Amino acid sequence: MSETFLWEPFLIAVLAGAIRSGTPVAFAAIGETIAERAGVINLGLEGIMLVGAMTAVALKVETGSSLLAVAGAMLAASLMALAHAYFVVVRGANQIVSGLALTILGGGLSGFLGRPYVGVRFDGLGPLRDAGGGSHGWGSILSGQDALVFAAMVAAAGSWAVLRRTRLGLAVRAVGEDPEAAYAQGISVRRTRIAAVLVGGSLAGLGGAHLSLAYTQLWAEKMTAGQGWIAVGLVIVSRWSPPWALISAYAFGALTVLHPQLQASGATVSPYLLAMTPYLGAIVALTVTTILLVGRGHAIPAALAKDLQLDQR
Amino acid sequence: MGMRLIAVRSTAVALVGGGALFLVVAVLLRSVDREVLPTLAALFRNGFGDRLGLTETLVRMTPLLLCAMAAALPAKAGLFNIGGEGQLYAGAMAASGVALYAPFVPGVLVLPAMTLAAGLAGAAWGAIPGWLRGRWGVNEVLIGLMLNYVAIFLVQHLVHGPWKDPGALGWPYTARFAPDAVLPTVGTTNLHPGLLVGVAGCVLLWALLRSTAWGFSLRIIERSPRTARYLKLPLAGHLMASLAAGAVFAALAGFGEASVVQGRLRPGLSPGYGYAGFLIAWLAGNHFLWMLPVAFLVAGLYSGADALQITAGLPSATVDVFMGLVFITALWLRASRVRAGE
Amino acid sequence: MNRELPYSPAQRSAGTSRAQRSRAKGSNLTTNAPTVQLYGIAKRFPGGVVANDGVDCEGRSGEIHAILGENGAGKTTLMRILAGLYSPDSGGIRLDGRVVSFRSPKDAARAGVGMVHQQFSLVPALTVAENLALGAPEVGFVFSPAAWSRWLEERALGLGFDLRLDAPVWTLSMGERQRVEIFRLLLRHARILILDEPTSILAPQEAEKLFAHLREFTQAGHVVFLVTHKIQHALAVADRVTVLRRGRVVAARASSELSRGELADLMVGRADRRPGSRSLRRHEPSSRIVLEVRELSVPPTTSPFGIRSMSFQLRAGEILGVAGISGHGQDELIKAVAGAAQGWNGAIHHLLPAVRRAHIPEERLDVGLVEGLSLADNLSLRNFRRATFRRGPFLDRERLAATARERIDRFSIAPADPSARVETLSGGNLQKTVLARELDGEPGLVIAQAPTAGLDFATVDFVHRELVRQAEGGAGVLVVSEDLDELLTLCHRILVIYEGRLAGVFEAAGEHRTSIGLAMSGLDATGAFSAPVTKAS
Repeated sequence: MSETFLWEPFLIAVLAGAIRSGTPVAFAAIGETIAERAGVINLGLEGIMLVGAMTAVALKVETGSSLLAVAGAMLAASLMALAHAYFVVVRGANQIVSGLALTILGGGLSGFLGRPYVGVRFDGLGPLRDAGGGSHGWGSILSGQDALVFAAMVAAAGSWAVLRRTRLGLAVRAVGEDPEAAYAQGISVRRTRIAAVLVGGSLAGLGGAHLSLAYTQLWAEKMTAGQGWIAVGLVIVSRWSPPWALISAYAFGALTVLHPQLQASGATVSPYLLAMTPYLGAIVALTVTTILLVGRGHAIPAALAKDLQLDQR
Repeated sequence: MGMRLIAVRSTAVALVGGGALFLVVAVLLRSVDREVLPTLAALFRNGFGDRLGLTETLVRMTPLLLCAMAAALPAKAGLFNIGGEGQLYAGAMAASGVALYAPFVPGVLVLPAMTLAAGLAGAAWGAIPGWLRGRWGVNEVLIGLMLNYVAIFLVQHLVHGPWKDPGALGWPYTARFAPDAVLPTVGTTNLHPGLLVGVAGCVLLWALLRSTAWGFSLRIIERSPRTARYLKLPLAGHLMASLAAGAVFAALAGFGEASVVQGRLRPGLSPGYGYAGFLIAWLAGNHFLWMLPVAFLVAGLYSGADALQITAGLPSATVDVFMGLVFITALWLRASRVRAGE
Repeated sequence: MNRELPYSPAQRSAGTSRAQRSRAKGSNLTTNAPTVQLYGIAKRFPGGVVANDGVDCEGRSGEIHAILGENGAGKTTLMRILAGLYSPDSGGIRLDGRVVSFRSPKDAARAGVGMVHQQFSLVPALTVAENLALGAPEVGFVFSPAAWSRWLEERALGLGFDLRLDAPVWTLSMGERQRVEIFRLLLRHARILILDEPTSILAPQEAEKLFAHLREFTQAGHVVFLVTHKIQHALAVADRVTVLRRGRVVAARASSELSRGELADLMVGRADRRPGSRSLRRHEPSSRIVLEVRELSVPPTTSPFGIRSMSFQLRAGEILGVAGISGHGQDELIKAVAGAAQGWNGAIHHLLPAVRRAHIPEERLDVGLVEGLSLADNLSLRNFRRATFRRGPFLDRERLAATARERIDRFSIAPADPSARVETLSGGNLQKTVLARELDGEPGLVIAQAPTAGLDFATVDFVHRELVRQAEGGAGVLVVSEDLDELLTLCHRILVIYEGRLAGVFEAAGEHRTSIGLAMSGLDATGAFSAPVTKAS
């Protein structure tokens, strides 16, 4: 390269972009962490995010209110999550099948009902504070973000706090580790799990809303492009910890943002190989922790293991 | 409850489920100003009614059936294989690698070499979660899921990088395969021997599972891994082998898609065949004979709906809505008992 | 060694008054000296099982009341009704003279009833403090782990408990977990304590400690119900005993009025009375060795101890017992001998090929048999891979079916339907199925783990006779059991395991019951902790 590379603006741009583009996945991953901690895996995140994204756009276009759009997205997402919770928790259906069916349905419904809104322009969610032309310093990484970005950070911190420091969170963890013991303590396993799945779903819907309202500011069919699936993976990579889910989502966002930059600069590192590493890392981490904990515990929330695995060690 | 009452109840439940499904579909169709019954009739006609539709259905059935087998065989040992997607891509990558970059292979051996490569790649991709589960009890669902991402990213890397088609002006796919590397097809259709492999494989597996000691071993392992250990059955070996063997089928599906349907390796080769296969296997109760009609039906619905896109102008998302509803209904019908207490 | 005493003399008085004060604060009822009456309790389960049939039972203030009966008599069901886990089909409960109805364990807890189950209700992955926070009314929506631990520590000290509050439960021993369970109930101001087979996981000396603790508890006027099938424990600690048999009360008297023999008769009905200490053995073992174990060390897996440097020999025709509290390494020992352990050191010499070894596992349905498969299939689990039952890779169905039918006949398995799903069989028939499969081929080595646990006395007798028959036929039999009476009846010699080591070897012929009991707690004849001891008559 003939010119000296300006690191500072590059990093600022990457970080800001990483946070913004990683937020939808972050929401979904944080929500799914809560659900899986309670012992339920929801593979329908992709479909739920799409439903959230479409609902947000539809409501924004029809009513002009961002607040209604976001609320509607969460509601629609919760309804889908409710179906999953009903089938799995109340009727004892196979979690994988239920999630996959919802992914297909969600993709279809959002595409079908969202047709009138494809390509329609609207005023999306803007940054909280107008960055203007002046401030391009490190502060702009945060100040240029929209409200939902901060909501995601609050969700991560809040989820962590709830899981560690509240009775509700304790109940969620108990239900995910040993539902029989939890029941013996008077905790309603059913209600706790349904609640956890609902929260997870509505957060995923929020993620979809951010994607369509703030990040791309339009609706297109299948626009999540697999981010729902990535979120499921990130939950495992971050070992069921909401703050780590947020961070790994931002890392994923960084990769997304870096890709065109890397291509333009002719860098030799393939962003795809880079993107692969967290998943390989998760495989290694899962294996190592499972081996180390043989006979003494579980590497993943125990009830999750039991429902997904028939072996009892 | 008497047997008669149970039968009546089941039929009633099935009718309610079917009725609800029909109702929802009807509402959706009316919302876009389509006549319900004629549209549904057209759907079935497109998928099964004429030669063109039937052929298209069979073409689609091939990867669906193979991926269903990939999920069902490990299920016989009690494993959940949702890594079908990754195994499919692994097979596609291996076959493509041989097709494009093994110039020393004589023309007539290219296809066998591709088959071998695909099979080995698939077996390897499936052996990883299988072995980790068998040897250390690592959850194969999560590992399989992770490996799906790895495979998809690997394909992206290859088609954007080392294997990129130089004449493709930046589009992310490889060069077209030479005619030597394309499977023989029926006439001008995309129907290739993969379907035969799938059907024959299903019948063979069904027969073997019920009449051999191996099948009995798998039944034991599926229901009680602890008993299997007590009996000194080679548990880890069986688990790994069943996942690896199932994965071979998914890999062959990938091979078929790359070689015939696409003619090259590209991302998005599979619109979720791995997951759809899992669902089909589940619908068929993991029964190798029932999988044949179920895969056929699902393939027909997909191809029929695709045709509807053109003939009736329905959005492509319609088929997903329909399939999603079908599976939800099946879920509701299957899980008809309320989970006991807690 | 743990020096955790439920009460130290100094804390006793302080503890009681503090406990009384905290109980008075939270008490909902008018009196601190409760009485409990269960009247006319009937409970039937789906499938036609009648667990309780018109049971009356009374717990008086300040007493320890034992509910005695053999397995399946309905004791646990009755107590679960009292604890609010089940509701009775008819009959009810009176607390202090007022009729109460519990619709959930929470209702019962509020009324002061607390139950310590056989299956503990602690979440293994959470810490002790976190577990105690679950369902604790003192914990608000938000809680600070540090403050909560401090509060718990205060309470624990006051009640005389020494608990590791910040340790995850899966690191705790069974005795420790039991203490946490009891502590939790006391925190909830329980005035009626129900313990379900608490001594099954305790050494004799630990059981004594528990009994002392319970006596303290009742001094304040509270009631303790002790569910057990161990006659000696009931007599040791209870004031009154109610005996249940087949869901009905057959006796309810003060413990001082009853003898062991009378209680045994009441539990089983005169006709089926157990042989008692009359030995079944009549033959002498040969000198030919079938199994030799030398300096065996097995890393711990299911117990905290594993096996450490154990040596013994099993001879043909000998019945060798392994006594000890469960969880002291028996599982690892059997796994190693059966060839299923990994990472072990030392030498295990089998002088018989694998096909001549039989293994009767502790868990019938989860390990020994496959649920969901038929009776015939289960009887074929050892055969189906053998060449004589196959035609190449294919199964020889007729031969397998014929063999299954023979076995059903020979061992009188009922119902005699080979296609019946095995889980529909009763406990006794399940064990017969396992025996039929394992013992049919005249094995040279038989390993039996808890072969008669949870069985009715008729089947217990059958199993014992079958094991003796095998030994008389020249097999070496290794029996692991927690039931000392059973071992004394059956065995020529008894090994005692304590914390993974051989704590003693005893000839069954002599009167070594006390020494064996001491060895089971790692103590020698003088009651002091000791190195391994060998004693022959």
